This record gives sequence, structure tokens and C-alpha cells, in this order.
Amino acid sequence: MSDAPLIRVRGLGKVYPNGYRALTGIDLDVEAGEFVVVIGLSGSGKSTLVRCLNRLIDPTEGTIEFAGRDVTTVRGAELRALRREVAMVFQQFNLVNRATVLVNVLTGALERQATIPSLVGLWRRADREAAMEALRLVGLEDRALYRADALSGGEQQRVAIARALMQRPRALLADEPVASLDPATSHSVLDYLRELQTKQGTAIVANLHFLSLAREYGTRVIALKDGRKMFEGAPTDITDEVFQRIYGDEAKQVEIR
Amino acid sequence: MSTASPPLTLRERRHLAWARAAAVLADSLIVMYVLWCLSFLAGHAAGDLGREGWLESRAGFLGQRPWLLLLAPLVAALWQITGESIGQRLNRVRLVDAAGAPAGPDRRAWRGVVASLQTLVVLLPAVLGVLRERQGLPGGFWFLLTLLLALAFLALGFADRRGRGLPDVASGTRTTLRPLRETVRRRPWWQRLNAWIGVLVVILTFRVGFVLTEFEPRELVENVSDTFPVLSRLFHPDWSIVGPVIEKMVETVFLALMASALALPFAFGLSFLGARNVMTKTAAGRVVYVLARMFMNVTRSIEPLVWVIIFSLWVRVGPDAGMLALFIHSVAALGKLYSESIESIDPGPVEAIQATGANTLQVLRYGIVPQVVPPFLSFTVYRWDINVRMATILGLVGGGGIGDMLINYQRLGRYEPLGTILLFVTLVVWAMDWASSKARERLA
Ligand SMILES: Nc1ncnc2c1ncn2[C@@H]1O[C@H](COP(=O)(O)OP(=O)(O)OP(=O)(O)O)[C@@H](O)[C@H]1O
Ligand SMILES: [Mg+2]
Repeated sequence: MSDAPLIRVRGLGKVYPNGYRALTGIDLDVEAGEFVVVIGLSGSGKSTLVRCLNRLIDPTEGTIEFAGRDVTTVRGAELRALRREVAMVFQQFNLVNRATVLVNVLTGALERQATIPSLVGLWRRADREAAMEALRLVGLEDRALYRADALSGGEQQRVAIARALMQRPRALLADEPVASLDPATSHSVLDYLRELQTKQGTAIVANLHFLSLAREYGTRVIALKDGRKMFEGAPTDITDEVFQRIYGDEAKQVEIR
Repeated sequence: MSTASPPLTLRERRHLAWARAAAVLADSLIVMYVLWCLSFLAGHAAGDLGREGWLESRAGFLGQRPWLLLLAPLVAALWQITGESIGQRLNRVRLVDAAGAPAGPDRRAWRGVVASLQTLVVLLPAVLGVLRERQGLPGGFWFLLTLLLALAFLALGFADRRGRGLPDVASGTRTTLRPLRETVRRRPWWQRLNAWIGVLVVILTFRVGFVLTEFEPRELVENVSDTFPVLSRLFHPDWSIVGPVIEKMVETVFLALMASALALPFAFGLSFLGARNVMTKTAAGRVVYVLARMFMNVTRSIEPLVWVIIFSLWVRVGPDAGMLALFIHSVAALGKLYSESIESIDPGPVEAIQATGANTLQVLRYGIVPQVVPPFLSFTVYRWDINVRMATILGLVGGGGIGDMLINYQRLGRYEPLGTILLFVTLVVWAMDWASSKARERLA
């Protein structure tokens, strides 16, 4: 099935254990090499959606396929293998603060490591080299032996991207990757993601808060409202009228350069 | 505001029903306690009740009529209509009408009537039991019946879609949970019933406490002249026993060190099993979690001195019994502290490591362990410090260490060597305390 999309979501729904319905009937296809931006008001279900894609959250309805494999039912080693191929970066970077930058990047290789050596910190030479290479790609090779919490926010997010690179992912999920960063740093971080997308053909699914960033980086934009998909199209299709349907009448566009 | 209150989820109803029951229970216990104190003091004043044997001697008004205790739930039920009884405040419930506004006086009065009737119905079997037995408290069967009735009324609140109990339904009130942040309008304390009840409870407690502990402040002053010669002997240490004392002190410190060091790995393993955020993802995990918690809580609640007694039966009297006692208590105490630091970690890195496809052990190793190393070390040092202090007295019950010597000289009435021992104990404990606080500063 060469023409099947990399990620294929059908009728996805999520009801949290407390009864709150966060997602309803989401359909979504993501091809390799696409940069899909998810926008929507706070609480519209963006995080829930991307977290379902690598099963950090178990969806309650619908199906997700990744490269033809059923995501919603895999368990154990298969689930871990899937997560290896679908990397993720977070708003709060989520690095292991007390470990070095290098070790943080190396954790991206845990899935293919034997358990015992990985627990005592015996990494293969090939993995070490790959980790240094990943750090070089994000311009941080000179920080390899710093403690992760000694780095600035933007640098930490680049380390997180290097960790993701280490997984050799076919898709990368990003849950508000730049929401804690200033505008200039945001651009540099998103540029790294775009490089992944264009040079390696990695599919990117990113939640972004700023429409201007969505327009600049997205090849396609989907908008959520109250857990439903209410818009899907090219970034240029987001007219003022669409904008107001997504964010409500009161909203004004905030520009960020 | 719409008048119809929304139906509640099952979880909310369960929460509400329990909170309401807990409020009544707490208030009943307070009333019972006050009754018991009054009865105890009355018996004491009448002179027919000593410090001991008061339960058997049937003195005080409760001694003759224990069934008076059954009045407590009735008083509690009436107390509930204030909407701000101590139990209600503790359980964060409040009384509102159907529209959610504070319930008016007529509704409250109605609620009081219905609640009293309900309480009487619940207590009926117990009262019948009293009548049949003519004395004392009703037997088990009658109490069981009362308990079942109470549970049945509790279940009513559970079954109602809006989580109302019978008194609520009948009087058109509702008990709701007070939002955590809501500030309560407070009158000055002398206008509040709860404050006066609090004052009463404190006064009664101290009156009873003085009787039970036989504490007479006078004694402290009167006996000074007799005690002084003995006390002064403590301050003339006998230096001839310094050698053996040092030996024993070294034994004591090592005893504490071994206990702490051996406890560390066990507590480490146990702490993951007893951490809610690690274990409660699967059913089997929850079972292990509950068992681990239970083990830690039970073991911890038995003091090392008692463990020495247990282990000296098992192994033999001596330092090994003391070491094992400190060891097992430390495993539980450290395990609990460790578990709590695991529960308070940042879940972000754990999630991130999971998202790389790492397996459970790898997630523990890279997501959790780095975050808990500093608190673990700090707790361990602190524990060693506590263990040294504990080890100095384990000898009192045959657990080795300096305490052996201490108790021997005390029995012989030889206060000069005793003074030497106390001096060394003070020095070592003080030094440990200082070192451990320095070490913990570094680790923080
Ligand atoms: N664990 C949970 N249990 C119950 N409800 C939840 C849980 N997590 C999220 N929700 C609810 O689901 C809805 C969607 O949450 P989600 O985090 O996906 O929103 P979001 O679009 O990412 O918002 P934001 O932009 O603020 O991050 C919210 O209303 C939230 O309160
Ligand atoms: Mg979110």
C-alpha cells in the first residue's frame, strides 16, 4: 500500500475517565514530509489529539494507523517500537535535568538498547556517535557534557529535538514546542523541525498557538473546536471569517515574527 | 441561577454521601467525648473513681447509664442543621436550598425534625437492645442492626440522582461540597458555637489529662532539695570508665550505620512498589501498592524499642537484635519517605522517556531515578542521625549499644559513671546532628 498515508486517523474520540469528552470523530491523514499544524482555543483538545497518536493517551473511539499498523491496539514491545518511530517534543522540554545533555540525547536510543546495559549507562559506540551527530545538527555539540538544566529554554528544546532525532523517527509530534520560548528562539526551533520535514521527509504534527507561525511553517492546518475538527486546509485558506469561527468574535490576530 | 440542581455523577454522589456521613460521625464522636469527659470528672469529684479501674467500676453517670452515649448521634443530627458544625466544616459540606442559596430557617428546622426522626429510627434497635438487657450497652446483634440501618440511610443518598439524603429530600435542602477556595463568612469567635465547643473540649481534656497523668506541678518545686545531691553527682563524671564508654559509643554508631546502610537498598526497592504514580496503572500494580503501603505503615508504627523485644526473642539479646530492629523500622520509614518523593516528581520527563519507546525499567531509571536521588540521599543521612539517637536507648531492652551500660549504672544507683555516659551520648548525638544537617544542606 504505497499510497496509504503515514498516519491515518478515523473517527477518533476520547472520553476521559471523569466523563469529559475531549475529542469527537476526528479524521486526519498525514503524509510523509508534511508539516501539519493543529490550532484551536485552549481546551479544544489539541494535546489530547497528538497524545493519542503515540498512545500517551488511550483513545476511546475510532482507529489510528501508522504505516498501515493499527496503533490503538498495540501493546508491549510493539507499542514501544511504534513510539520509537513517532518521536515527540513537549512544551516543557521534559529533559532529565540532572543528567548531561549527551545522556539526554542518548535516551532517544533506549528502545533499541538491551535493557541491562542501558540501565547502567553502557551505550554502544555507534549510539554515542549518533548522539554527537544529532547534537551537531542542532548546533549544541559543545554542550554535550553540560547538565541539561544549565541550558537556556531554547537550547533545552533543541536538545529535546536531538533526542527525537536519535530515535530516527518517521513522524514527529510536537505539543506546543515553542510556547515557552521567545519569538526569535521560537523561529530557530521551528526551523530545525522544518529541516527534518524537508530534508528527511519526517511527518510533523505540531500544536501551535500563533496563527502566524502556523501560516509560516504549516503545509496544512487543521483547527479544533470543542474536540471536533472544524477546519482543514492550506494555511492561506484561513480567512478572517474562518479565523473568527475558530477563535470567536472577540479574538484579534496576534502577529509574531 | 436555574432552580433545578443538576444530576450528579456516581463518583460525586459517593463523595457527597461519605462526606455527609463523616460529618455526622465526627460530630457524634465529639459529643461522645464531651460526655465521657464530664462523666469521668463527675465520678472523680464524687471520689468513687480513681485513676485506674474507672472502666470497670461503673463510676460517673456513664458508668451507670452507658446508653446515654446513644444520645450523641441525635445531638449530632441536630447540630447538622447549623450547616457549619465542626464535622461539616472538617468535611467541607454545607447546607443549601434547591436553588443553591444558603438554606433558610424554616427549611433548617424541618431538616432538624426529619434528621432526628431518621436518627431515632437508626437507634431504635440499639434502644430495644438496652431495654431487653436492662443495663449496659446493647449486645452485638442490636448494634449490628443499627449499623445496617445507618448504612441503608447512607445508601439512600447514594441512590438519589442529586445525592440528597432523606432529610434533604423532605426539607428541600441539599448538602453540597464547599468549593476549596470559597471563603466562609466568619463572625467573631465569641459568637460562634464551634469556638465555644472547642474551648469546652480543651478545658475538659486538660482536666482529665491532669487526673490521668497524676501531674502535680507542685512536685517539681517541692522535691528540688532532695534531688539536688543526686543531680550534682551526675555532673561529677567518673573518668575511669571512659575506655569502655568509648567502645560502646563506637558500637552504637556502627549499629546505626549498619542499620541505615542495609535498609537503603530494601527501602529503595519498596518505595517504587509503594508509589501511587508508578503502581496504580494496572490492577495487579494496585494490589502490590496497597500491600507495600500496608507493610510500611504497620512496620513503621511499631517503635524500634518494641522491635528489639521481638528480635531478641528471635535471635538473641545483643547488638544484633538492636541492629535488626533499627533496620526493619528504617526500611519502612525510609520506604515511606522515598515513596512520597517519587510521588512528587515532575511527570514530564517520565512521559518523555516513555515516548521514546523505552521499557518500564528504562523509564524508571531515566525518568524517575535522577529526580529522586537528592531527596533519597538526604533522607538516608537524616535516618542515620535518627538511628544513632535511637541506638543509644535500645540497650534499655537488650538491644546492645551504650544503652546497656546506661541502664546498668542507673539500676545500681551509680550516678557518676552515668554522668560520663550521658556526656558522651550528648556529644555524639549533637555531633551527628550537626554533621547530618551540614550533609543535607549540601545535598539540597
Ligand atoms: N486527564 C484529564 N482528565 C479529564 N479531562 C481532561 C484531562 N486532560 C485534559 N482534559 C480536558 O480535555 C479538554 C482538552 O484538553 P487538551 O489538553 O487536549 O486541550 P488543549 O487544546 O491542548 O489546550 P491547551 O491549549 O490549553 O493546551 C480540556 O477541557 C481539559 O480540561
Ligand atoms: Mg495542550
